[in-house]
Amino acid sequence: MKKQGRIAATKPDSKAVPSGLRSRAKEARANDTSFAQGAAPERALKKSSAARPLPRNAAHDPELRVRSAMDHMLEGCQLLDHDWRYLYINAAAEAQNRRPSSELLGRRYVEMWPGIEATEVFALIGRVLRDRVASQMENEFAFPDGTLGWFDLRIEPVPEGVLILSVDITTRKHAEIALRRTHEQLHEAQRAAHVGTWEWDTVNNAIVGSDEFVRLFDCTPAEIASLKLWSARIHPDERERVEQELADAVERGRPYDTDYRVRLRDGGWRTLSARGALFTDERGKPTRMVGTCIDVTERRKNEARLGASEARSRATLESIGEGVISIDAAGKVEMMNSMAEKLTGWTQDEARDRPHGEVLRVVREDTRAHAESPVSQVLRAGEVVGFASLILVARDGREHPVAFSGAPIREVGGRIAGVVLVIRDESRDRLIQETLRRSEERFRLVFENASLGRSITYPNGDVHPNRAFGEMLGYTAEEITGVRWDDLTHPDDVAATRRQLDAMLAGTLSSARFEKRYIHRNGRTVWTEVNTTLQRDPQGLPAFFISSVEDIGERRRTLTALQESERKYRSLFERMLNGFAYCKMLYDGDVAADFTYLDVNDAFSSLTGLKDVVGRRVSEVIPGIRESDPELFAIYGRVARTGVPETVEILVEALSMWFSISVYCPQPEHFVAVFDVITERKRVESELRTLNAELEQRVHDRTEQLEASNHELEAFSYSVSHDLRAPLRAIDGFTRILVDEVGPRLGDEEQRICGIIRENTGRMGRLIDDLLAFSRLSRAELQPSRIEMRVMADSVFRELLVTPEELARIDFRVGELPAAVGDPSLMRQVWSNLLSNAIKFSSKREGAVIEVTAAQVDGETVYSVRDNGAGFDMRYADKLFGVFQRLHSTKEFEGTGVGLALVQRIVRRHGGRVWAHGEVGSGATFSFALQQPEA
Amino acid sequence: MDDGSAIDILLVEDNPQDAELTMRALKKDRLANRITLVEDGAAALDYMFCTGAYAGRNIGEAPRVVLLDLKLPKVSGLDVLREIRRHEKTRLIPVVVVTSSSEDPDVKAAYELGANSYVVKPVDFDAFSEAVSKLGLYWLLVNRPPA
Repeated sequence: MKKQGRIAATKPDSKAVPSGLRSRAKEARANDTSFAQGAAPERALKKSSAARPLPRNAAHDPELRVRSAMDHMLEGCQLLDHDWRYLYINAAAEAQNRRPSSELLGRRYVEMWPGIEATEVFALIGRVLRDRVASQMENEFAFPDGTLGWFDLRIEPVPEGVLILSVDITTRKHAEIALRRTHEQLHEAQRAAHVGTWEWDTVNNAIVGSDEFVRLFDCTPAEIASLKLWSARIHPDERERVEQELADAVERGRPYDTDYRVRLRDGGWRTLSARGALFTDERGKPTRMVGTCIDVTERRKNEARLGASEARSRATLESIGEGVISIDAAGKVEMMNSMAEKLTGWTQDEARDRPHGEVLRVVREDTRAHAESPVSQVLRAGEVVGFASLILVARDGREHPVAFSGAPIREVGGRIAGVVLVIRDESRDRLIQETLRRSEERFRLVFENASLGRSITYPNGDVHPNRAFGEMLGYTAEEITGVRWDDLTHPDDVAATRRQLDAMLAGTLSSARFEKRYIHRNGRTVWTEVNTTLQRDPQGLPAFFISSVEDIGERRRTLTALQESERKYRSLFERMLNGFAYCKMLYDGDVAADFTYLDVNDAFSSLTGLKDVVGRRVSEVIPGIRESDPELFAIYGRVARTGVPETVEILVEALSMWFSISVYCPQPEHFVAVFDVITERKRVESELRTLNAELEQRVHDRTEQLEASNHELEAFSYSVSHDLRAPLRAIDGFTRILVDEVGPRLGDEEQRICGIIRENTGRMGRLIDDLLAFSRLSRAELQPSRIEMRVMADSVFRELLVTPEELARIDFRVGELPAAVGDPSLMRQVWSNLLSNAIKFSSKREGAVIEVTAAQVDGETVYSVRDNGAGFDMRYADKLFGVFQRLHSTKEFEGTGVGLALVQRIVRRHGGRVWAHGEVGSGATFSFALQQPEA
Repeated sequence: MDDGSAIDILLVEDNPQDAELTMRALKKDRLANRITLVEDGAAALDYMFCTGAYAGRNIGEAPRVVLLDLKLPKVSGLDVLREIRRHEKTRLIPVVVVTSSSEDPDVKAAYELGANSYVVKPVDFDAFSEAVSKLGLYWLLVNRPPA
């Protein structure tokens, strides 16, 4: 009876029979005493024996009487022949069989009850048929419909076969089972609940306890048979209290209900809860106390634990950062923690027993539409439900983004007793998410748009590059995203790079900086400097490498170029013709006191004659230089201090040499002097200056002389004009007076002589005027302007010929004459002289033609005046332009011989040329060429 | 010829032949009968300002025109002109510069000092006579001095 779970369902020691038929049979011989063990079968047997006449006796009755008696027996009565066929079934048996006898009679037993062959009842019937010995059994019979019936069977051998007498004991059997079950249950319940019962005979001071009571005290009944023995087993701390309580119960009639601990054999303690009721006799004198006693050790422990647990739960609820609200099945608020109070704006006291919808106002975060209360949904769904993206509107209107998690509280039977709702305030999460998002965005932006190459390399080798890194290798970032790093790396650098990455993965390096080569899309090598750090995830596992990649190709080239440049300049420095000295200035306060040579080139020594100066001070190398050349020190000191370069030519007294020095400052308090010795140049310059001064003096003197000459010439010219004309005027004047006053008395010859005198004085006057005009040309300054030559030639011609007769006589033709630049009054003189010559020399010819033309040749304009007059002999052409040179006699043509000389002089002063062509009797052409004016 | 009374023309000319020819030309057309000749600049100044030989002359009776040669002994014609123009009583008297040559560098200076006209003496006597005649006609008959 250890397996409590099977108490109600099965009988003790029952065998499990795997089929719809279950039977429990026992050989039931009359002398078999074993059958008397169970109380119920015994009673059933007695009853059936008393109620019925034995069939053995009936067999001796006449058949009908027997049959009639059998028919009305309460016991079932069935007769099977030796061949197992039903011969007879009475009414009781028919009822027990639950099928009409007509179906059975004449049929074989085994046909009617399929599967019966496997049962004990079949075996028993067989034995009785064979052995002819009556048997008895209690049969548990499974009807075809599955129900069970219990029957007391007695099987008697009869001449026809066997007689089966059966009593339906199903009802009794059920009661029996139920009784046994109840008994077992009580027993088990007492044992399971550790309830012991006890009775204390207060008169005889004896204690009788149930088995469980004794067991609870972990002793024998004798060890607890008296109050004293009982008391001794109680915990010393409690013994006095419990005795007092018992005394109070007995003496004052108080209820006895107490806990105490008793010592166990193993030294431990068991807590018992005892209750008792006092019984008194008719006079009210206590006679006995009856009570129960249960083991509450675990319960007390649990209670203690539960108390602590509740406190802990409460504290937990208060301390967790989430709001917790419990709601009962009616949807009313029961409890809320302080976070829930904060989020809802309700205190627990205010909210208690209010509908949850009043306390929990929820709107959807996206639409702000009113949202169904999470509580209602949990109540409806009956399971744990989570809700996100909601806004809890507090009592004062403040809003919190929240997530809910609701769980139904179920009672033991499964009924929902309420809901626990956990409210998570997501404000901070949102903030963190947003911050994280922004941070990631920032990182992404910085990463993607960094001007330096950046890449993320995953431990599997995939690369995620930024744009700059892609560009560095000639790809778009998309094209090489996901490409493995070793595909981009120069083959010679793959192994070295892998070593660096492996070292970081292994944790021996946290970051690495190294130079490596990548391969550009176009195949060329890209030198880079890579700075890589391994990022680990929160568990410390490698997540990815983040690298900055800088193209150092330019830097490498620059470095190489710099080295090359340095080498070149060093060589230049050594070989250059200029002296070079790199010095550190030494100051005494603010005054440049001395300097040390740090470096000089070869030319320094060859130019200055100073040897082995490096590392020495100038005061040692050239003693006394500071005193003799303070200006040099001042310059060096100034440059080294201000950094402003200076260039100077200076005589260094200490060396008696002239230097041209460029001084600059390569670093503070240092200077470089690049110099050349210019002593020789200075000497030559000095000589040159002297020569120049002398020359200037000579020029000056000469100019003065020339000016004086000019002046004299002017004075002379004036004298010529003034003083030579006066006598001529007197000669002419008085000759005229003579002719006027004595004319009538003079003969023709005298008159003619006077005429000759006056004619010659007139010519002399003209000669003087022309000569003066000619000389004036050398003095007058040209005042050039633009001249319309055609207009000028035409107007001069018309001034020269004043009479209509003359105009009619000469056919004057003027072509297109380009403009010229010249002094207008002088140019007018040219035209005047040339045209007057043409008029003069064509004056004796009929049909005179004077033609003025121009031609532009090689940047010159050639103006020509052609006449068809007397002409001249080309043999004398070179004399035409000489002063006072004439090719014709005065008698033939008037003239002083100055006109053409004047023309030549004027044209030459304008930078031009003049020439003539002529033929005697055919005319002459006079031409002059002038530079074309610039446009 | 020099009676100290009011005259028409003061002729300043050192060349006696030129002086004679000039006076003949002027008198031929009867333009001016009262002509005073001085032969150098100093004499001209004495006449104009009634000093020296002309100390007794009445300064109020000024010549109607002065014919002034520039090339003069003692005091040059330009200096004479400058003095005439400098003094209040003589500054408005017309002064005609008479010279032998248009090349004379002093002609420009003479105009700057306030010469009223300028005449070149031609070699040809007819032309000379005509020039002097026109000169006398203009200055003595046409021109009216300021009141």
